[in-house]
Amino acid sequence: MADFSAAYSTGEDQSTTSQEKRLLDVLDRMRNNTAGVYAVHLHLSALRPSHRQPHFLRMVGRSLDSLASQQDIQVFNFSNSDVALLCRNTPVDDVDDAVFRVRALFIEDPLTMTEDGSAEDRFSTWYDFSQPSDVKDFEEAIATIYATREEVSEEQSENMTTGRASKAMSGEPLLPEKLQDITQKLLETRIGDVVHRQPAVIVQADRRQKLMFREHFIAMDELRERIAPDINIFSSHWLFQYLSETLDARMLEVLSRFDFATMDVPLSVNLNISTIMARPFQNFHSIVGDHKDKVIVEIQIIDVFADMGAYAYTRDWLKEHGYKVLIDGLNPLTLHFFDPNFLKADFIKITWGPEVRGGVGQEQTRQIRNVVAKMPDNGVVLSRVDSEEGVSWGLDLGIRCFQGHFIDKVVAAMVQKGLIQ
Amino acid sequence: MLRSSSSPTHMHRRTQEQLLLEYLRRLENRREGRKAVRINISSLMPANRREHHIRAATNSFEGLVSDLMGQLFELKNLDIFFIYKGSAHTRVEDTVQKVKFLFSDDPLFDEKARSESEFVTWYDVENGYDDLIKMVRDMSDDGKPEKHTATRSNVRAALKARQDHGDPLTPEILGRAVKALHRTDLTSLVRRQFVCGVSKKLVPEPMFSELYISIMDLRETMMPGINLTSNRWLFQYLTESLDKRVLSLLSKTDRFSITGDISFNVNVSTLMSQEFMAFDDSISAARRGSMVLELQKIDIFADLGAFLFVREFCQEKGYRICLDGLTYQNMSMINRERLGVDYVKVMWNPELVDGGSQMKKKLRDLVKDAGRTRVILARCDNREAVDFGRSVGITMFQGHYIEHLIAEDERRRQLLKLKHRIERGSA
Repeated sequence: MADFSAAYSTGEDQSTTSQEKRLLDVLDRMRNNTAGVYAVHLHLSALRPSHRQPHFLRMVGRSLDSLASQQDIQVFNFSNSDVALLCRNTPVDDVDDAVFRVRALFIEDPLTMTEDGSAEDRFSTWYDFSQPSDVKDFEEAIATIYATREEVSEEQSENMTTGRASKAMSGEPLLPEKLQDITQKLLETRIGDVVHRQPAVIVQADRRQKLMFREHFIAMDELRERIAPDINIFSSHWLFQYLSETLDARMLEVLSRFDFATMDVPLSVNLNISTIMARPFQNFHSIVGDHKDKVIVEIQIIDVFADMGAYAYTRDWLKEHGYKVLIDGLNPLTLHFFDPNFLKADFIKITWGPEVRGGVGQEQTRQIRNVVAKMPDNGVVLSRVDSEEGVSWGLDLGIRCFQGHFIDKVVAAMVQKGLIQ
Repeated sequence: MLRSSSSPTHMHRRTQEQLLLEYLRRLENRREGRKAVRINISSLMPANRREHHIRAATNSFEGLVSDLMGQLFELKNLDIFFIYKGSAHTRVEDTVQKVKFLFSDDPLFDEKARSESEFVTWYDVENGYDDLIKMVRDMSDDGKPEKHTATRSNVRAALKARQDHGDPLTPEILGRAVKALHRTDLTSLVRRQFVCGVSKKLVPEPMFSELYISIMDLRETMMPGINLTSNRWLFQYLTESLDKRVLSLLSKTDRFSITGDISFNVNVSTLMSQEFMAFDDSISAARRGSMVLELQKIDIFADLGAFLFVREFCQEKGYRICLDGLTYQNMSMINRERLGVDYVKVMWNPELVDGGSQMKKKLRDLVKDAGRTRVILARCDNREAVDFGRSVGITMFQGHYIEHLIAEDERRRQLLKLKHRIERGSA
């Protein structure tokens, strides 16, 4: 991740001198010759981690390449993903166009939501070298990046919010050759102890909370230690999706040992549609017996879209037998592009993530409010809520159900006070 | 789903198998002349076992049920069990024939002998009563016996699928397939299908042509006997390698000449790869404007951020973007304009006509919302598709029928040319 700059540089070896250092040297040399010079600093390091991946940054590089070849512009790619343009006598409009193009690529990132060129623009900063203070500020900014570059390269990406398969993980990419072996290990390994659970709660009118369900899931990093310690099993959506079919079967084995008669709160579990209509789930089905109302089946939106017909069939089958259906893998931004009410599920789950922290646009807020209003009561669950801010954000939009680390703490406190078992 | 006489309150408590068993037991002293038939829907391909298929099949028995000639049960494995009075036998035979017809495109019906023995089983309730009771009891018992039959039928289904479509794609074979792809010359496997405007008089006007690799031919060339599409996710992975091969093919124009605007399928991940960058470098800006990139709908939700990113990147460079593989259902869920794609491609399905005027109106509104010049109706196999499409405002079509129209049009032009030549000769 750290060394993406080399990946799209034009062949020259830049690994020996860092680009920050090079820029600082250039600035040092031009100290007395700053006529017509200005710089633009693109703060790509402030993008969401999911947008800071090498392939995105490679494409940014390409967007700027043409500019550099035509004009007297130097492009510097820093180790923290930031990019600086050093321009001399170049029409501002040309550079502005290029910056805008890059900005447009990240239209979905909160970083670009501030107004272009405004004082609070967090995406780009312009420095006019005719102002000595600007030169100084720019130099300082670069020096800071240079000083902290070691730490940055060690930084681990946080999770992405679209689908479980996109979770960031280190290790070699998963290849089909290894998949067979991993699938086999997955079938043989002990799994019960890596199944974790996380509660979801409903905030009632009196602001008191009630347990809604407990999601059961496999802690993938723990499981990976057992079946593929050196491999990034999330590196390919499709291969992970394949692996998840085996995960489902193992998960259902674990759940089949539960005593559904004495279960106090329903459980939820993420499953593939292909699993539900096949043997692993049908066995589970007979064990659940008369307690189908205690099972919420979570289906990923990607699975739904892969085959809508199969989804509709599965949903009807589940509902008819008394199960509840939840659509997982949505985030506030996906709601902007499609209306999940069409899916006729009992619940949808929206991820609260960095992209909405600090608020989303008015139009989007209206959209989310709309979706929430159209869903059945308590039909929207806001997940990955890691602070009270998330709860307030959700409540404000009409969402009543919450899940996440923050909720874990709330529930733990409730248990301590004896409010729930 | 339930079509037997039991009250709705029984629905959740007892399975159809149990109800069937009870019904048979009640028949014990009144079994003279009774017969039964089982339609083994479970032996069909999964694609033919959807809800609407089952509904269509059970509906065929409606007349018999309402005339009190028999009782229908829908088993857990989707099989249909019908117990009836002997006097209705001819009617039942006709009905079974009708049901067979519903599924006649299933591979099971490719061999007459097999379809006769596997799809339908006839029972004589009067004389075979005890055996029937035993069989149904095995089916209705929860737990072990059921598990056992399920396993067996799965093995059988797997065997059958293998015989019909080849061995399933496994990760190991996928690994080999990806490697083999690099060695295989795809030039001869490229197929082309036009997306056309179609006039009232059914004259096609090509807008662009889709280039694609025939998966059937690819399988024959590269991995005979393997069913490359048996697992959706593994196949999807394979397409990523395929994409890259197609890109390299397209950049070598000396070996592969294409005229007019073209489109081709590509994964979002491919558009972010070095291979696409290299491809993009190799073609002129003007050529980018003549290319339509077709993206799959699952790619949107696999990673929306990535989707929006590459869409912006590619459109900025001049490519057009088409969202492929939509059905009526997901078209109604997706907002084309917000997604920012230039075209959406909807798959033709004869069921659209069955939806009646209400469906038609809905679709007309959807097409209007998406933009009339933005929607392509694909997989048009007959004139009905084009007529229907035009009636809801669609202006662009693709499919075998369109290819046929192009061939016809070409023939007409040739004839006209010939005619002119003859006229000139005789003048």
